[in-house]
Amino acid sequence: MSKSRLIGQAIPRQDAWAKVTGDLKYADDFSLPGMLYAKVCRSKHPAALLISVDISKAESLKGVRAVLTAKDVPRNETVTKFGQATDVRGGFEGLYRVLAEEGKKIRYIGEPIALVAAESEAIAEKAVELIEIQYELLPGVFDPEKAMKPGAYLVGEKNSNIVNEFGCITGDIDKGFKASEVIIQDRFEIPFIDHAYLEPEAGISWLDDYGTLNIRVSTQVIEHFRDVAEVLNLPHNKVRYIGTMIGGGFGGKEDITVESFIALLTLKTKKPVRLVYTREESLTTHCKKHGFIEKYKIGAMKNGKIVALEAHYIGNAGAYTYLTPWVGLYATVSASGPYKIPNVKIKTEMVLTNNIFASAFRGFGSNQANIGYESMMDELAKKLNMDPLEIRKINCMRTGDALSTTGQIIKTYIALPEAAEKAWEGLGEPTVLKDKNIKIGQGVAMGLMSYGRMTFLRDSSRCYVKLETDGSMILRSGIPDLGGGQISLLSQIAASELGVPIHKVKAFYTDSMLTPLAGTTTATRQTYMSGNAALKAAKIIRNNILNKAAEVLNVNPDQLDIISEKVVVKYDQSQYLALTEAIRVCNSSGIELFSEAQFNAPFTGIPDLTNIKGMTFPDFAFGAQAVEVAVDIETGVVKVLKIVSCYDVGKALNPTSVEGQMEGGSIQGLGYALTEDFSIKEGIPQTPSFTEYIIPTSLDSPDVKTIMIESGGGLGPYGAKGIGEPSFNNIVPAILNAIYDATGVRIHQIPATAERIIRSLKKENLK
Amino acid sequence: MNQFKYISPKTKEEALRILNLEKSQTCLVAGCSNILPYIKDKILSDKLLVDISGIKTLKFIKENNENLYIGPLTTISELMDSVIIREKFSPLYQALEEFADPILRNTATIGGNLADASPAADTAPPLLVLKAELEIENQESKRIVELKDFFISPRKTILQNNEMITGIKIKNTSINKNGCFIKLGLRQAMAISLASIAMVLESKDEKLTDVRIAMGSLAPTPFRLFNVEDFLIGKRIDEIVIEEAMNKVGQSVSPISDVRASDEYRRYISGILFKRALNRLINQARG
Amino acid sequence: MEEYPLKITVNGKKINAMVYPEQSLLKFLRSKGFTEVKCGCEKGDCGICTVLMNGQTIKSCITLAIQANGKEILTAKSLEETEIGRKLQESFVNHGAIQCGFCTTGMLMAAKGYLDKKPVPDKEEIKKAISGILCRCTGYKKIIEAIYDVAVENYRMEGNGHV
Repeated sequence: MSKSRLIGQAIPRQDAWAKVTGDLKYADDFSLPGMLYAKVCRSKHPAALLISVDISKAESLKGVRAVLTAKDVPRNETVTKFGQATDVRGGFEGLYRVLAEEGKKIRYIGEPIALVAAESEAIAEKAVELIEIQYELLPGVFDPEKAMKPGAYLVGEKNSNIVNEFGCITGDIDKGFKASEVIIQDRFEIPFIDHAYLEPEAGISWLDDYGTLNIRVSTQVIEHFRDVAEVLNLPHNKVRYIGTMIGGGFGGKEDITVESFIALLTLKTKKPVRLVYTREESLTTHCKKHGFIEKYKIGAMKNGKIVALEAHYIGNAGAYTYLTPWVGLYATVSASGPYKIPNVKIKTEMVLTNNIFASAFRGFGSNQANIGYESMMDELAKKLNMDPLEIRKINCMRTGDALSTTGQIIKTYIALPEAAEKAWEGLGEPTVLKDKNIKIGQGVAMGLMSYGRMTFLRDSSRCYVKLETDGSMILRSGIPDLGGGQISLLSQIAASELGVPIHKVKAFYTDSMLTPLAGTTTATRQTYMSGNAALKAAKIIRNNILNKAAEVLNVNPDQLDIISEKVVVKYDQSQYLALTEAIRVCNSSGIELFSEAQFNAPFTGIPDLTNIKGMTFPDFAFGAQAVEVAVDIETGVVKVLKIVSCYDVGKALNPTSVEGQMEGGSIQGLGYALTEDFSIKEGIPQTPSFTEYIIPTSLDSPDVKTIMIESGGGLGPYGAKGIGEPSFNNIVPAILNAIYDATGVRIHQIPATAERIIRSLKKENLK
Repeated sequence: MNQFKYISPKTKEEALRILNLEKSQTCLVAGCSNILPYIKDKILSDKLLVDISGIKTLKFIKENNENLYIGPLTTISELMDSVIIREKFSPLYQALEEFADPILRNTATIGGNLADASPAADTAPPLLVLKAELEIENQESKRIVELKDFFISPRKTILQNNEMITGIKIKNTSINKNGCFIKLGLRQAMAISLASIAMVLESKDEKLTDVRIAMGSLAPTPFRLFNVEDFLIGKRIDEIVIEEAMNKVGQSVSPISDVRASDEYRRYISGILFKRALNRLINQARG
Repeated sequence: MEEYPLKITVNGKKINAMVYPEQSLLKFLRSKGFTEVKCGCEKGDCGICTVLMNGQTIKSCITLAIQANGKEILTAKSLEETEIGRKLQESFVNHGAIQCGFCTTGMLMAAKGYLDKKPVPDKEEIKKAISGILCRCTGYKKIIEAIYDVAVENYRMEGNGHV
């Protein structure tokens, strides 16, 4: 592609300057006259029957304008929908309960019981304290293995705590193990972790001049306007979501957070209402990444070929269903990793407990699977006395192979074992340290992760592009921007196709009424779906221009290109029509220079969940990370010295953005591996603030070296794949494998804290 | 709703007068690292906030032949900028380097860190081994309290509610240079110590002539390990002595289990940190 | 509940107000429209509220507003007034040091505080200078590079030769 093309260039993002000057208004930076402040009254117990809620004292506090309970919610219970226009049944939907109801069970500490709107935050807080709640305490169940047992305390209204079961069966697992020359087994425990975005949940709602409810909120899904409309018993076209630039999402702002609450209070008071969570409220009451218990059994031949893989996953769903079924499916499909294994048996059970509910988090079940299978690969290597890279080479999928779980054939490029080899090579020679207490170790891990949503959701995205008479461009997309440059990328694509300089593109975005719905910013789908929609819309306009310009220049349209605001004849660029002139001619001829295009993902039906087969995702991204650690074998402290991240991104549409995802994903994973544990005891969160919940600082973070493979083999625009979630994959097991290399200790329970490492070391008689 | 009042005395005398008048209603505010979090957590409410951060006479680093004097309002950053501290009071300097983070160091004060009396206060172990003395005043009188007698329990000191720290005195002796501070935290910045140790020592002819050891985050208050010190003084330090001393250290600490670590691990680490500090200083003393 | 008079200069503009003792400088600044100062934790744990007070970096969420009486506060909006501030802004944009942007204004002020000391450019020192501010998106690398480049250029322009 020529240099004049913006695609592939590391151009700055369109929102960068506004963020740097502080002009950009995030969800909490916006006020309206007469605005009220909301606070949520939350349960103090993890498991209880809600007997009664007395709001009288709160209501009579001066400055309080509304106090609402479940009785005041038109439809307090609906079904969770996750942004798709289609109805997905088959166990993929769950209960969305706005406020706890008298006579029903409370399921987690922090469950919302009542809402207050007042003239100041201080008054709202005081009113919350004045709400008198009677509970009948119940025992609750907090451990998923206990919650699964018959006779366990029931978290919800159903007669089982098991939300879903999933399975994948390939070949004959018993025969596979019988034929194996070696068999290894292990068990891994993965905790809840938190997204820890720097921007807490926030939003403001108001009624406009026509009584339409407007909600300006930090969210990854503006399609929730439909769910909120259901809750309020309003027609869908009377609820408008305006999505703000998000101060970090990672899946934590994928579900409804503040919107129902402020909407209810606005409808009641007829005033604008703003709600911002405190950090403690955010940490303790928004969703977590699913904890998993994974039991693996692998059978292989002495030459390294794996013949059987069995995995049993128990997912900790917390108190409410939310996206648990989806995460369970992702984990199940990913459980055998990017490896060709003839006999596979996966069983996944997702279980309710009286903990904060788990839902979306970057990686969405695939990482948890990745931690299991990549730890097992290194254990197999150890058992067979083989090199970790070698064992992966022997077993990994190649382009055209099928996933060992579902049998989905990967037609796009599989950059394995290439990514692992490149990552490993990037580590270089092991660091040499003189301290006899420090052991250096190197580790690698590779994996697969889907991009694009599950195909039975029948996903689509729309984008609008228009050329103005002066050659400037307008782009409209409902796309929420998490900070991954989602909006800028669409502008870059459209501008590239139409030869318009990037500073002449203005994007209007994330408005459920005024911008075409682009779907959720989740599932690593936006580059793929909205990128393609933007490309499609731009191409339609491009063709119109080229066809008309061809007439004027008396050539064939395929002999023309648009470069730097000129429609040029490819073989003689001195022959051209200025873009503004081409636009003028088109307008005068009634030719449309705008387009709203829709891009559809492949559509499938819902698979048989007892044995998931066939296509479940449009495609997968493949990559690897390699890590060098220094482990102090007296204290157990791990220092990560080097990280190399290598992914096939298909095409790096904006290399800076891609690097940013890879660098950020690796460091977020460093926290997952070493310090982050959203620990809950008897339903009580032990890490309610950033003092206890530890994420990496700059001093904990090595320079991440990024290697991009551009195979061109992706389904996204220009052959791009997705990188948002894949970049968070592989880092955790790479660190665990490096720790193993340094110390001979296999960590089964993350985070691999210094204490856990010392306890493991002492078992193995190493001091 | 909260009923806070505020006053910012311009002189020490004025501050002491206010403390004497309002006593238990008062809460001293200097660097303010913890005041707002305490208010948020409802640990502090309805107080008269006595903001002493403007009293310039309480901010100083003065040295003469015999002693070093530090004003309680001297910030961590100011202490780090002092050549005297860096060159002559090594365990203190090393603790300052690991204190919280560089931004917090601009406002956090040494007096505040001591008065807040967290078991994990990072300035406490080094000041203990430097045998710091605190000058404590109320409106009527002045007293000197050795730091080792200052802490009572987590967040409780011998300070009466009409008193404040007005000076910190450290004897200017050569032992202060051969010191170190080691901290174990869950990450490399903004880390509350899981365990910490400060140590100074002097040796002659391969025998230890003097040693002072203090630890933090391993007991309800930061404390000196006198029994271990007594054991070590006069001995030639070899592996057997170190091993036995490590056992004594393990018996001297009384750590808790919390979300950061178990008491077992903390007890184990106390021995490791002790061994490392001792070896480091022995080697340093050898030259 | 008593309020107290506060006289404060923010980005060169004098402001007179009455504040409650327990109001944080962060909340005060935001209430006066300085929404570029962000709120992430209100405990001093994340640092995104970092501003300059009389030339020093402080975390405004744990500073009482009343403690800023008589002092000069600079927020990220003040960067456009100085050459080094503008260079920092541009460097951040060009390096891709901004993803979600929520830590950006705090990082910029920490960087300004660091550069104001006219240091010898050193990536490890830069890492330390921003170690009190959390970022969840970038992994810190591009932020450090952005600050480093400005430090190098500044050092050279101060006549110190190349690094």
